[in-house]
Amino acid sequence: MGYRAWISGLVVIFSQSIGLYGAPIDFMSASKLAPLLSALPHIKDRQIYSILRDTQTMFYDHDSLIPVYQDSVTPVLGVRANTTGLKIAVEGDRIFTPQGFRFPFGHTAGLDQTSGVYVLTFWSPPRHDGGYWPVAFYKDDTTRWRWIFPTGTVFGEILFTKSPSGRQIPFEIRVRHRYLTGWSVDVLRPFPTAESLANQIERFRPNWRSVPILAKAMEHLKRNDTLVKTHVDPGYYTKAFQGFDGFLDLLPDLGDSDLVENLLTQTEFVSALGEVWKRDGQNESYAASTEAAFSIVPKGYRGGLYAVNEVSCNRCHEQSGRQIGEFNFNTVLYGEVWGEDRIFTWHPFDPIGRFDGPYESNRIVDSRFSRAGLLEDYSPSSLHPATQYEKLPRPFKIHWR
Amino acid sequence: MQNLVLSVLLWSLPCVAGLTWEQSSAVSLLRTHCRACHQVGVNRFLVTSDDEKQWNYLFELPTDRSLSNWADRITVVLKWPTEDPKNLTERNPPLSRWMPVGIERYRLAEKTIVAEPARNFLLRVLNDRALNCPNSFESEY
Repeated sequence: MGYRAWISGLVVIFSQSIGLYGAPIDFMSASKLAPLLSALPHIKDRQIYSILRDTQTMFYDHDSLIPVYQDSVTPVLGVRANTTGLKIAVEGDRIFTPQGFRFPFGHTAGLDQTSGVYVLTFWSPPRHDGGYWPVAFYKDDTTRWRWIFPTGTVFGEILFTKSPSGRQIPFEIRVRHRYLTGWSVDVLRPFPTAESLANQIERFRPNWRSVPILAKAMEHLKRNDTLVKTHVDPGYYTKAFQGFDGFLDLLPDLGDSDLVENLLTQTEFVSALGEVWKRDGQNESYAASTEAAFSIVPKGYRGGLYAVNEVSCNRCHEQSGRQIGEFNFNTVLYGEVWGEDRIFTWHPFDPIGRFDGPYESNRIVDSRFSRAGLLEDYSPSSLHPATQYEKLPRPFKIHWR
Repeated sequence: MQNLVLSVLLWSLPCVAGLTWEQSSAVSLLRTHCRACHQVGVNRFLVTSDDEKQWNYLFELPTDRSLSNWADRITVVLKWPTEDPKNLTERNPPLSRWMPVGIERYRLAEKTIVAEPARNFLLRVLNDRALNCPNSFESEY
């Protein structure tokens, strides 16, 4: 047994003695989390329903698990935290701005042109022997740390939009479920098809024909020729994906915020896997969009461009850990695409790690993970069996530069 | 002569008069395991909620006559070299299209229909239909 295993063992024994081992981490205060969880919708998927109500499930957002990104490109190796307002040094083209990242990876797809959407991430690691199957980390030959999530891990994002009354309301739940050789995906929505929305409006507002704005919206929902062609430009990232044409269906304003609130809060969220919001011949849109200030999706939402299946989601997710300089040489000062193992939001590092530390000395593991038994040095022969852990294939080579 | 007519009628029955339970089960399997990728986009072959129409669609001639029908293409993809699904990295030969993408290949591999592996069941039923009803339909979709 190596010294790392001994240290891990000591940490486990100490954590068990003070009751932290096997206990979920409270990333967020109860006062912040409780109102968000109380707003959760009805969910048809029983597994996700159970996970979201399980006291073992951990929740975090951008503020409570601050993304700490790695950089294995010389001369500035190490990690750095993305805290609000931090200016990032980038040569040449300014892909990153103090106001926000314009990089296509690492944020929730379809939200680029929205504002005010709140994303709450949930994490459910599989249980094992009184604790967890931990995340297993290792270092590759670029100095970068990599990690593997165990089979059975579930990650998800609950996307909230804000009503005119200031209430945070979920409009979508995205789920990734780790199996041995990949992540299965799903997106839960109250209205996976335009028809389902029209049916619910008829139920909630039987007199819709006498309300001109609703009648117009209903006519829009029942017509197929409303799709608007849009091109998704890969920008610098043609090595990850080529540009493609997609279609948006811009819902007219429903003109009734009470109705929208009722639609979102009193409709069961169901799987949108393989569903098409609206189809017009060969043209398809996979979710609603709108320019209205308050609707069933936020203004500027472009989820209609992305089909819900593993292939579609992998286009971006399998880029985690790729050196950004491969896409655009001028950004070599900014390390790699955040995240590992096809999950962007989870990072094991303590944000006190600083940009100015030499080499790897600024890479500090967040002690909450190791205390809880949620993070261990990868030992494929003993602690982390091949039936539970497998490195996923990458569409790119890892190389030192 | 009477026997001949009866034989022809019985032979062509599955093509024109509803689905057998095996054909219905095959449609159900395809809906369950293929819908995420094949109910959308350019590779869409799940086109209707009507089982009989859906089944017949698989055997229709595609608009582009250079392509084979969906039943043939599904058969190619389901002809795994072993009974167990392998990882995507273990494709053999390289870049062949015999392995469906995603977790559904595992779920399909684990499922049985009356003790018959579901993948073999699908292959057999698709093949039976292709043999019994060689004249494909023109596409309505």
